[in-house]
Amino acid sequence: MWELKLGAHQIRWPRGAWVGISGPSGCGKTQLLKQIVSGQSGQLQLEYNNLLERPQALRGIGWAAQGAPLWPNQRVEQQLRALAERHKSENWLALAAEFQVLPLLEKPTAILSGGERQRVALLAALLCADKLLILDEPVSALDQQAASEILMALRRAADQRNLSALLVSHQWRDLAASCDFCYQWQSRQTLDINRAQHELTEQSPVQAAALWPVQWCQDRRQWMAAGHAIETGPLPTTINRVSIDAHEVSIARRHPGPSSIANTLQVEIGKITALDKTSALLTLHWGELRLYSLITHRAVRALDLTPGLGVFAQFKAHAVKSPQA
Amino acid sequence: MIDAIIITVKLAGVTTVALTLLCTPLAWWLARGQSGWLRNCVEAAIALPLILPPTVMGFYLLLLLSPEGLFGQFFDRGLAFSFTGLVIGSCVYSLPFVAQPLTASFRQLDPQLIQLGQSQGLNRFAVFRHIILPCCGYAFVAAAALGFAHTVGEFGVILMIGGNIPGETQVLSVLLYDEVESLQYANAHRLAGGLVVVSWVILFMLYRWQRGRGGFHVGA
Repeated sequence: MWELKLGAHQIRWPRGAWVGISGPSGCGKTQLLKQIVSGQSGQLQLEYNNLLERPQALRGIGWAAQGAPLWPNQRVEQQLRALAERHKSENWLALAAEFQVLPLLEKPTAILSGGERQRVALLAALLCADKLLILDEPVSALDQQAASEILMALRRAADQRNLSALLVSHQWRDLAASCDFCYQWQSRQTLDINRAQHELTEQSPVQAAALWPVQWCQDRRQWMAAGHAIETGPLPTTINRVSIDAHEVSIARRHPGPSSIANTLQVEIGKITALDKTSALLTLHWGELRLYSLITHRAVRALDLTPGLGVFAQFKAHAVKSPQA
Repeated sequence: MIDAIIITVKLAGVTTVALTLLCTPLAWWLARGQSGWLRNCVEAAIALPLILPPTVMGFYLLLLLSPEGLFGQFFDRGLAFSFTGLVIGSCVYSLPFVAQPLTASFRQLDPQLIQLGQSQGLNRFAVFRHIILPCCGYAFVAAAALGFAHTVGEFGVILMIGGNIPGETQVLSVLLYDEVESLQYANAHRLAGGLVVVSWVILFMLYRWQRGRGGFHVGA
């Protein structure tokens, strides 16, 4: 179990899990990560051992700083090879291939583009990390697809070595693609990432709809987002509750087939009340919904209708009203 | 004359190496140290040789290095009029020329880079080798070149504390003074012209190199 105590912040998360830190710009997320890295205050405990009391070389923290700084005036390979040797990482070339860094090895770090720098910086952080990755806007210069790919590659490599991570990103998609938990800066809560996503959806459905293309998945009977099996909860903007006044309700034992003017519901007979010599009133149940049908005693006998029997009710819609109306 | 050339080059070389070693931690402290007023005091003291007449520096150094002086008393015959004394005097006099480029360069260094190196498990030497030297390497070259050239051109301090002992403390600038005094203008021309050319070439190469590379590449 990890536990971070720093200033007003306290985060607990299981070993190997990734925590995304979300909060408004300028709230101090980067500063928090820098404080962890410098280790001048606070506690970062793994199984009740405070890592910050150790010398920096023995903490096992890999830091990908904001803006992806690299070793100046050197080739990418010089930095990565030196770090791999220092941290005894033998498969660094395989990782470089996975992070699409191989073509960059011969280039000086100064001429890399923003996205290339971030890939190299992420790989460098991974080489240095033994226990924890600290990632500050690690894929902000990459396009959406490349960002997801690189984060998933990083997550795979981290999972193989049981590395945890603290990730700061302004893009919710980065957190959704890689994290297990979300630390909400303002409420100081650590939530399961799905729960956090659910809350965001409920509090601000318009923003949620802007973040993810939301689709109704018939098989799972769930709202799905961006192809992820994510419980988004009901979206108030897409559900419209109405009441329907039924008109001319008729009863059939078999499904009457498609009709252009009548609606058909499969209902259960609740009660049969005799009104006079010729007429009877049927109370029909469809879940919580009640339908009433006025038919003849003769029809009751002919169709052999009894309470509890399942039948098909056909009706015309008389009026469609919203509940407030 | 050959003796004077050898002594000059040796003095400038030893002074440059000593000053580079001394000024690296000093400049680091000046650029990034915490103490404000103490730093300003030291900065002002280091810059003194830029404005004081060399004879003033030479006079006080002579007092300090003489056999009865504060430092000289620990040596048999004192340090004045010896090569060691010349090195000490040159170091004091050329100190700002080495310290100031290094300080300026360290001030521009992004502190996040140092923090990054430390977080990557680099020890002090590795941080210096992989991060500080590649960033500030040009400043080391500039500082060394300026220190060397300035020591070659030194006159007043050397005359005050080194005397003019041929084969021991007589450097080119002092020899030139002797030649002019004894009206040997042909020799004086050779020495003066040679010093002008050598100094110009050092400065030309320095500026040319700075413009061409714009930085310092390690093993590229």
